[in-house]
Amino acid sequence: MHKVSDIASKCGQFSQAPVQSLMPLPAPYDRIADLPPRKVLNQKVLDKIDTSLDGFSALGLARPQTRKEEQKFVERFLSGLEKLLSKENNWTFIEQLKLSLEHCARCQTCVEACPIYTASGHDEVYRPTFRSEVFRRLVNEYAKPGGKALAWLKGEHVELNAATLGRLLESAYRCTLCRRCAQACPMGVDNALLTREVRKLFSMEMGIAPKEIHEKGSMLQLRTGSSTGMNARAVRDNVSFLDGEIRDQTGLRIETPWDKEGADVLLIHNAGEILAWPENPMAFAIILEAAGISWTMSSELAGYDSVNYGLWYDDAQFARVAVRQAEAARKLKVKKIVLGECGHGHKASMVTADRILTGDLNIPRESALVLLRDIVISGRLKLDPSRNDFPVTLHDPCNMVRMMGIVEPQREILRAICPQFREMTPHGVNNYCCGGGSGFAIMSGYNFEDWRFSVAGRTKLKQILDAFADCPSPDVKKYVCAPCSNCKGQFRDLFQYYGVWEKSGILYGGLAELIVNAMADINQPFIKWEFH
Amino acid sequence: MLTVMLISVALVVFLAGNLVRVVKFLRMPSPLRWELYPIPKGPQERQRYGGSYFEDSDWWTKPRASSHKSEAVFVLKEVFLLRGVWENFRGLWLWSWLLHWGLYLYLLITLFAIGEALLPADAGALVLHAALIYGYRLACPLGLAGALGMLAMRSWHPRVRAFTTRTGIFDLLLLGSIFATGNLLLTTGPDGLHSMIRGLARFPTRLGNHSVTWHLHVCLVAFFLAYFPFTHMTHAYMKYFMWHQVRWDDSASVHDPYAAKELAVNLQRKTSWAAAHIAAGGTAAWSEIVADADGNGAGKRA
Amino acid sequence: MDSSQGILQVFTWNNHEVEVDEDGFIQQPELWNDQLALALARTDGVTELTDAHWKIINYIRSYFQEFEIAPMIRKLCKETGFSLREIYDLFPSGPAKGACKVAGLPKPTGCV
Repeated sequence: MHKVSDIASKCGQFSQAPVQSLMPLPAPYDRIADLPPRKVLNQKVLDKIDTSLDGFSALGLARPQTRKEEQKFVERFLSGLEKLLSKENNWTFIEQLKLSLEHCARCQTCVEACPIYTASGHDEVYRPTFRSEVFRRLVNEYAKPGGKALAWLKGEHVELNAATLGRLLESAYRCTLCRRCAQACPMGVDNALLTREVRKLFSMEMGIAPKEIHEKGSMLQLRTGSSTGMNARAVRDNVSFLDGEIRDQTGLRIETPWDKEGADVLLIHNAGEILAWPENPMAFAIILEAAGISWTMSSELAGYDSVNYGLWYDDAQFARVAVRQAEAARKLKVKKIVLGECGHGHKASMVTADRILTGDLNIPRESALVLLRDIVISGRLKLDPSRNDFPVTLHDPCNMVRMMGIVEPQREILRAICPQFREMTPHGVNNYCCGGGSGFAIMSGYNFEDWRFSVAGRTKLKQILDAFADCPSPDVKKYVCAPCSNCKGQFRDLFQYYGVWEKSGILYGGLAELIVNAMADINQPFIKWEFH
Repeated sequence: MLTVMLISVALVVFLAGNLVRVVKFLRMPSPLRWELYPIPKGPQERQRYGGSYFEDSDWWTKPRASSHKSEAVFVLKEVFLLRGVWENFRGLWLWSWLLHWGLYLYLLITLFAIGEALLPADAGALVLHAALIYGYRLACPLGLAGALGMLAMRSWHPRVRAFTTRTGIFDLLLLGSIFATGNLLLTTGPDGLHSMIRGLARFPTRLGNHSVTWHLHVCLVAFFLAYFPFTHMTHAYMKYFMWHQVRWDDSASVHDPYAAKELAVNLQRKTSWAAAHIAAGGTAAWSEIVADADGNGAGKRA
Repeated sequence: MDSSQGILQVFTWNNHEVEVDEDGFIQQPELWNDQLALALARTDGVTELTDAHWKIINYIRSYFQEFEIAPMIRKLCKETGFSLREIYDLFPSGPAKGACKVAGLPKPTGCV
């Protein structure tokens, strides 16, 4: 068994993360030997980057090469730690941070709630309290007066060196911030919050963050308007192409309204939808037009991409993006912003940004799930549920459900239009994360994907297979409704990794697509049963 | 005499320490929202599945329902039945429940005993007196059993063993000794523990002869009181804030006139986050950081 | 140490060297040329670039020159007349990780 202080060990890998210990999956996924081989990093790469946590690397952190570099690394961390604990630098979260640092009873009541820890076969390195405890001890020992003496007295000394920091940083990217453990904590301690604070420290003080979410994520969004790199011209070109696709596929003549001042609704999609799952924005356009909603899209910087990756790792990036999105809406004088099927975009905009946007920037924001529910229940669309007569289950995106309490609207829709709708266990606010949360779904560097699919997504896959246990044959086509781009990205990659489409006939997709698929006026089925 | 002084000082430290902790907390800047569902507010049918006001269209135009009853029921279940531990760690529950109930009863009866000691004796007081004697007879064995059970869990149970700290063991030993000496006092006479509290509550300038156990018990309690505000055991009351100010704080700024004022204060705070995309080695107000469009270090230019 | 934590590798072709990220995407698009495209294609097991390959590569490149981003897959299929299956047959790593890489584009970003 590992001790917490082993995190500082200068040699070896903290955990071997053996595949043999992984939580078993139902057949035909029960043979560990059938897992795709793990990617082998070449020695040149291994020499440079830190994989000493569990053999995986999310960030490709360069190991300090000299004693001096290591010293500098530690100093910068300590300076960041001081800022994290100061009101001036961390007014955004210091209250919650201190509460979670100071009141953990180390009772481990929370640990079984973690889908990563349990899926790994209880690998200590993924225990949700592990990184919290390391971080807590570092704070107590290095950021408080008399901390060193007390740490020795209490037997809680943790050496602060490059190994400790490299592993702490990587371990902050082994948690999807799903907050199931926080739900289980009798005190109200939040390990996910602590994880996010660790990520923040590294990003905001040292500029260290996964390149997919920082450099090619929030930075790119601030520069071009979208983390996909789509500028205003590109997004308009793409969406007008999709208008044409709607015409070709359904015969409906729709022109997506752009920058229409005074519209009731400004619809902001996750821009990744337009590129990777265009059937979702197409479905939205069809539904909104058919229901007679006054709506528009915006081509302002950040006005056409609801993502805000700062939610996962950096408060400054978070606030910058949130403010620019709100400015785009203010310019158009819309009544409300409606957020498309993007979980973290929902939470970022409707909850976390709420105390950053005040006055006329605090434009009301609503979930597309609610608008869709109203449209479906109102009877404004002619819907024929028999068109959706295939097994459907619903994935609850953590950000919309556990962190916002949007539980029933999506179910009201599915109950109305999907005769074979069935729940997963557990679901609603107790759901399991898809395993791609907090940016993981777009992180694919080095060998991180092997971990993301074999460990992080494992619990969800089991849940999905269990929900369809009555019809496992690949000949019965089944649908996982995932109203979140990030979750869809995870399902696409996860299903591909395990061969779920071939072995079980399970497709994934959004909610709006199911509604259009049930629209009686559209001649051919909207959902195409091919894996993408 | 020394014992009396000790417990008096301990009481002062206890009160001041806890007060400082609460005041420090209340003086924290107003943070960003970080709520977690289910939240026991709003209509009952929504609470059943953990739904929120975000499920309403145009939610900002609708009145907010809050239910103090649901919150109270939740808190009572958590405090008296340890709901969270019951649901998530059944193996720990019994021991934790015994320990907590031992503490609750000890505290409650002591408060009553102090009250009784300061009131003139009459018939009612006699009944109370009898109740208190039996109260202690319940509290001390419960608490001792809980502390011993928790110690055993901490030492052997694979789920917690690796995360058992010296302070964790120390805290349990301390509580265990308080309950153990309490039990011993109970054997010395029908109202051993109770008369002690009564004696102390009257601020005696002179104490009669007392046993070593008596002194030991009072000293342990004194130490516990002075030690408590500096430990995680303050969750006893800080939990209120963790639930009400973080987990259940779903108040939207459209409904909260103070939010804008507090934000204005927060945006004027200076930050020195050193990463190149933030203050880049300098200092800048948060408002400047947010306005910085290219993220190339607002502080550097300032 | 800075935010870009990617360890770049050197890709050698015909005695030339070019920096690539860990997925093999070149870092300096201005160094792209026909021979480099072939060399990059070979890393995915494509031994020669046929007219069909070039039709796709050329479309991707012209779209990128205009919009500074890769075309959406659906559009790529429609404009070139190839189905997704056919694109996978031509570029086994797919349109994004295969065709775009060979065309010298940066790796796609964002929630895609």
